[in-house]
Amino acid sequence: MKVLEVRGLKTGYRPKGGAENVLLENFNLTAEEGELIALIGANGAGKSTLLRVLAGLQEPRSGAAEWFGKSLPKIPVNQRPRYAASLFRNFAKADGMSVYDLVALGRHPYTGMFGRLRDEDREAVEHAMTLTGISDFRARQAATLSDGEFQKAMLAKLLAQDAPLMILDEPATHLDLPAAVDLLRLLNRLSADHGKTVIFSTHNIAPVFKLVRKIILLDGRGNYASGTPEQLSEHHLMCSFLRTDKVRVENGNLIYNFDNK
Amino acid sequence: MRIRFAAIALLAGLLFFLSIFLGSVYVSPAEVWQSLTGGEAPLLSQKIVTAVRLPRALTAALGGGGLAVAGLLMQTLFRNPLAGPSVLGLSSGASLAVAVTAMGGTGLVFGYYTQTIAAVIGSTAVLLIILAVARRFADVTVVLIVGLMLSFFTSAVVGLLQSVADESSLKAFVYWGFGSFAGVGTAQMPVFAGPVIAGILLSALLIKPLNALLPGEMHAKSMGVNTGRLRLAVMGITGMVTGVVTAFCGPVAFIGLAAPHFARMTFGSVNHGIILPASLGIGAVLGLLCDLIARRPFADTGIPLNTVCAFMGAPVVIYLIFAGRRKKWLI
Amino acid sequence: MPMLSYLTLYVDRLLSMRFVSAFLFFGLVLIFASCGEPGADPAFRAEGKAEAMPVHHSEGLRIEKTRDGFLVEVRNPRDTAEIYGTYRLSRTKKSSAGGDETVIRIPVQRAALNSTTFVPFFEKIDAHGVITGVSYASRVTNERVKAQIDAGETLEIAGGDGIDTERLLMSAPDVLMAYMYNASDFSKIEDLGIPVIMNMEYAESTPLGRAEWVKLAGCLIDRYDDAEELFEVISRTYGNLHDLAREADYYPVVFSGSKYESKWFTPGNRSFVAQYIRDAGARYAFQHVDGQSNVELDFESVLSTLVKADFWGLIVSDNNEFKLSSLIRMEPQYALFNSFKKGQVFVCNTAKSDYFGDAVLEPHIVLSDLIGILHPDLLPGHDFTYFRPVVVDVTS
Repeated sequence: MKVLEVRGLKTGYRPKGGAENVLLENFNLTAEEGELIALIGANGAGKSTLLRVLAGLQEPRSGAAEWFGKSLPKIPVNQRPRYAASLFRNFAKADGMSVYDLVALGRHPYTGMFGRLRDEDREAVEHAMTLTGISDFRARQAATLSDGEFQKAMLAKLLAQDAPLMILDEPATHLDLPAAVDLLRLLNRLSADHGKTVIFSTHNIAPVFKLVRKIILLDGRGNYASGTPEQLSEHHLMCSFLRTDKVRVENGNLIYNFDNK
Repeated sequence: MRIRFAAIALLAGLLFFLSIFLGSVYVSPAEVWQSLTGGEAPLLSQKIVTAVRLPRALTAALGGGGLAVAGLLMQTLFRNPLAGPSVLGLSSGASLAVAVTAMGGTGLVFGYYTQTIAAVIGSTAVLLIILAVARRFADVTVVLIVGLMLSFFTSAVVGLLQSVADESSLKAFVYWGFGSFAGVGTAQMPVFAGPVIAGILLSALLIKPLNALLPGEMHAKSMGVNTGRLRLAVMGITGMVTGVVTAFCGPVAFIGLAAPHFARMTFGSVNHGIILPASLGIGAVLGLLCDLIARRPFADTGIPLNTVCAFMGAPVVIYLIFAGRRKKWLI
Repeated sequence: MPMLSYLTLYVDRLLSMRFVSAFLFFGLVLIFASCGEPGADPAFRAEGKAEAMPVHHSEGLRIEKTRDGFLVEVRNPRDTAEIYGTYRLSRTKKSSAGGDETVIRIPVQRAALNSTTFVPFFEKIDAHGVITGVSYASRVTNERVKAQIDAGETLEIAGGDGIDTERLLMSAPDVLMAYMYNASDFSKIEDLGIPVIMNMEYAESTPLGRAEWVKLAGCLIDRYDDAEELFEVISRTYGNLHDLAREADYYPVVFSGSKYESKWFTPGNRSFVAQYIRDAGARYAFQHVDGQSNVELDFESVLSTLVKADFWGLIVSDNNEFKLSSLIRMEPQYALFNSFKKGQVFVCNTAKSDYFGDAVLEPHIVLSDLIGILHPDLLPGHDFTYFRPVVVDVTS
């Protein structure tokens, strides 16, 4: 089943009085149920912009995204959280909130008018906290969390939302390397075992090449490449992204020379 | 949590009855009770209880509760622990509007209706300006300074009006500025209580979107909250409640700012499902308490309500801010 | 004016809160005047078959005698186009407040007064025991009413910011007599079933115009003839004194008012203070300054007028005897005035005489004081009641 589909998408921005700056043009993507997709590219290549457009939080310059075969503008804003859960980096820290309350925010699409949690909501919150390993500090306030712990809490919130489509903008930010790899495994499991469609961006490309079967690379000048790690390693955009002349994948490991010139 | 809610309700109820049993003249507790329950009390006692004390206690409870809810909504919307109807200049805006109708020679009658409508318009206008500033500058300090400057500016215009006003309307305005919960009689009660209760009830519908707003506007959007509409709703409710309360009771300071902090401190939570009702209850308690102290039932004369609010409010707010920084239960 | 009114306002408040008991202040609390044409609006008189009662000096009061009582109309004396209320005083109908016409059952047995200045209107026509509520008990000087207050028969009805409705209800009045501030709203009191009748005495332009409001009290207790008779005596005596003052061979120049910051506050030429001065055979120093109440003038620009004038009259509140030296302590520049140098200063000390109360119904006595001060030869050996020459305890 096509969970997400975009055709002929164009993103970019126009500074006041300046010329249009195109980030991405004629972008096509189809994401099936249970697919895990990684989005990579240099800083400013438009990864976050693309994810916001896919999440319905920003209007593209042209083209439109479809969720479950339905054009996004036709899905009422208040119903979208049931279809897609998203996590972006520019969240405020919500100092006074307890971890539990924060994770419980993910249940909003399912609770009633005043947000009262029912048993199944509490179960989902517990489950999400277990998956992210934060059950122990459920009572702590967000202000007392480290950045990494807060990131995990927000991830748990996303899991608690239990939407078929998950969009994550650099979810490994602030996480140490083992935690980042754990996260990737978790996303992998969510897609493989639970049929979630997961799209996320990252700078941490080594584990991605090892664990993710579909990668999209943006160059920030309108072009993109997409495919398996092997296909991508042969693409010229990959070389220019890594500023090297040769990239290859061996046993799932990405190997390339640093361009020291 | 239930125990704490029960304690607040008990306290509010106690103060409510205390303000009905105590007044500037002595009515025996038995007669008060009979008047309340429809028993056979002397006509005079009945009138004093039902036409004077009951409306006043209701006004104090509703006014305090309404301002507290308005303060909470603003603190969440502006992500600013110092936001409140009086701090951000909403009360000043309402004051200015009332001053214009009272002293500006507009030919308008200084009646309850014009005064109320003017105050609602005044407070909403200030809120609009603050909101426009808040959208442009994310910096909390900028918003606070603009609110403060708006207060100064409106005070200056009020001062200008006072310097040209005739003595009688000036006196009425100055008395209004002292603040009092006695200004609502049985006849005006619907005009006062209607919008305030409506505002409080409507704010209950915002519990979920306000919670979603706590981790930021982007998060609220990702949770399907129409943030523009939420902002409008908050603006409408706070403007209406602050305007109506200010029109009838004068610019009551500090209750709206302090009550939500008390609520967060008491419950150790920022979840609006808890602190909205808690702020409402604590606001009612503060309103009744300040009114009781202001009336000084055992003395001959009272103290202006605003004097009491400032005496109690200012140190409390300072304490709350310090303690809040330490214990991290600020929004 | 606003400055001063502000000042008096806060002083008022301080006094009412009893934070201060002995307090000296320059309350040139002021009242107003004009010499408009007396008499009632013919249109009002033409209505109905009732008989219009003559009103000679008051601008705001109109009275008709009806079959079972009176029809009273109260207007703003300063703007007679503004009607404050029409009251049907009836011996048969039940009282009802609100609506176009207030009905008040007469004779009124119990009355609450929103101003202590109304006390003499009842007491001087021997309506004893009628007053069951007064605004500020501490300001009542009438001995009989004071005794009633001590006995708990008369209650204080003023609260922090106006009327304390609980005490008002407790005083169980048949009517509340109040003065209209253009911002006042008595609908809340009418909602409690207490009819409110306006007494606009304070806004009248002449001393006799103020005194004539005694007829309103007369109507309320249904003893109109007694009130009319009292007023006749007052106005006849006042007229005789006025005639006497005209005999004076020299009309001294007199001013009133005081300095506050860089301003001189003086009653305008249409104030009733100015009227008193003119009626006492003197020239008012600020005759060219238009106004019904206090007007603020730049001190330096009026200094020459103040220096040259012969007499200075002022109203003070001082628990001790007010002397010439008290003035210099307030403002050293007062020593520049000729009136000061010659000791020709006269005061009314409201702490020792009921200028704001009884004096309203004794304009003839106030006038006699003024003639006794300005023309001692016309009233030799005059016994001063309200205004008296200040004790000269400094020489310059």
